[in-house]
Amino acid sequence: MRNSIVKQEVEVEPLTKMSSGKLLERRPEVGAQIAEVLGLDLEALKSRVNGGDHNEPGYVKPEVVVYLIRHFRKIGEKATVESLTTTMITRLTRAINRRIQVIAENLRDDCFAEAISNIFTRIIDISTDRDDYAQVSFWPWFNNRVMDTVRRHFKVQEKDARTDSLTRDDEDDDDFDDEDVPEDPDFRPGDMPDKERELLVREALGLLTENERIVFLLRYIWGWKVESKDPGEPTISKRFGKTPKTIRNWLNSAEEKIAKWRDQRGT
Amino acid sequence: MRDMIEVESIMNEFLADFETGGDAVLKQYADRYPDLIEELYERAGLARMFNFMPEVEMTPEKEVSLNLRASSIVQNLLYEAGATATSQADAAKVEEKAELENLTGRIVEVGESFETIGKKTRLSTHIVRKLNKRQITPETIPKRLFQLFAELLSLPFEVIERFSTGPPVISSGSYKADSAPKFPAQSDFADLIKYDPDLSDEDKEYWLSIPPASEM
Repeated sequence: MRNSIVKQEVEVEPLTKMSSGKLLERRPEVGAQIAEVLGLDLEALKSRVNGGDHNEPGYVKPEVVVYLIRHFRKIGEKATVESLTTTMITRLTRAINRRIQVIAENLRDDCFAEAISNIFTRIIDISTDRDDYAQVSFWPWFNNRVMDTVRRHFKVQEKDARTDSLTRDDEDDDDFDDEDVPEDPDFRPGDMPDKERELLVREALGLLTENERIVFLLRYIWGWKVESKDPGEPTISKRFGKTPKTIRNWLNSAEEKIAKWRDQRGT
Repeated sequence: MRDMIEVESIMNEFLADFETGGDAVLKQYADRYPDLIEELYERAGLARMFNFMPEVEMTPEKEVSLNLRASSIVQNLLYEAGATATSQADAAKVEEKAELENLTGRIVEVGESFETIGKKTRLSTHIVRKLNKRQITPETIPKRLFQLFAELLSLPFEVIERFSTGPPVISSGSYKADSAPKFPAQSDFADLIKYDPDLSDEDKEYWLSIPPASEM
């Protein structure tokens, strides 16, 4: 069956959302690929979107798939919408799963479901151009959506951790010198090879309490300072609403556990 | 104060630039948007963390199970969106007037008030009330305002747009008058913004920089 909405010359609807006083625009290669794919009959279109490796030049870009889902939603082509969303899900599942590893294991299922819901609610909502950016640069838009979900789950995680810590008096058991934690110059998690990073995330971070885990990631991965003289700069201390001394204790404890783990592994 | 759609747009662009420009881009954006510095740092941190996270090894069964779960969620979303569209269309046919009566009920239902809606949309309570009574000339209202209201009230964009383009609401006392009721005059959106004493200069500048729907 020929794609019934296609005219002799395929018309690609322009984006309508304004940003910084200008209309958003797709990259030329995205527009060209939309026109090319829309020229196919429906079966060929589905097969084209579904196939291919993302390293191949003909791979249908996610920006294009977003356009197609919205386009076929507008004209009520339900079966095609379902096929396209299934393809999109297959592409995104791993990416979401990888990003939510930072969340406590007991919250990951919820986090995954919420991320999927957040992303697709917006893609299929044809009543607004709010998410036109997904057709301009999909992966930053996608990261932004997953971040919304992860941040919300961080809050739940922190709340759980706070409730747990009510049984301990964090401020009173401080015996740590109020100097900044000396960093191990050999320990740069960002530079680790993939395999070791995977082990660090899978094994070592699992040894830490929730507070230690977040503080460790904030310090070493996000690059945040424990405290800062600049009142405008976000710090770990401000984020937790705890004294720098308490944060350093958590960080110190996390580092000790990780050092022990590395000694045992002989790295 | 920026509205949430504007913040979201800034963050989308920031994350795209940050991917290639790193910390220099973070600094640029922090200088340009000092009111969003925490948000920018947090998103930059998360972006780094996402890159840091290694590929997770998944068994084929686990992957299939995640895909099925995701498909089920999306199927529900599509069904709800379809069902909503159908019921909205039906409702619009059957009781269009009732649906478009005013926004007050919906504002209360979602736990907001004229004041909080005003704050979240960078408008004064007075202007929100004017909109509620459809006393603003529809062609002069920017689409952004419909988007914001749709988002805050969890209603489709078209419902808000359709509501706003109806005739002005007549005062409830008009039925006692000897003569036929007159529709209240409608005001130009830009004029309301310009002369509103409760709006800050930044909020005025913000709304006046957005073209009305008729010019889009």
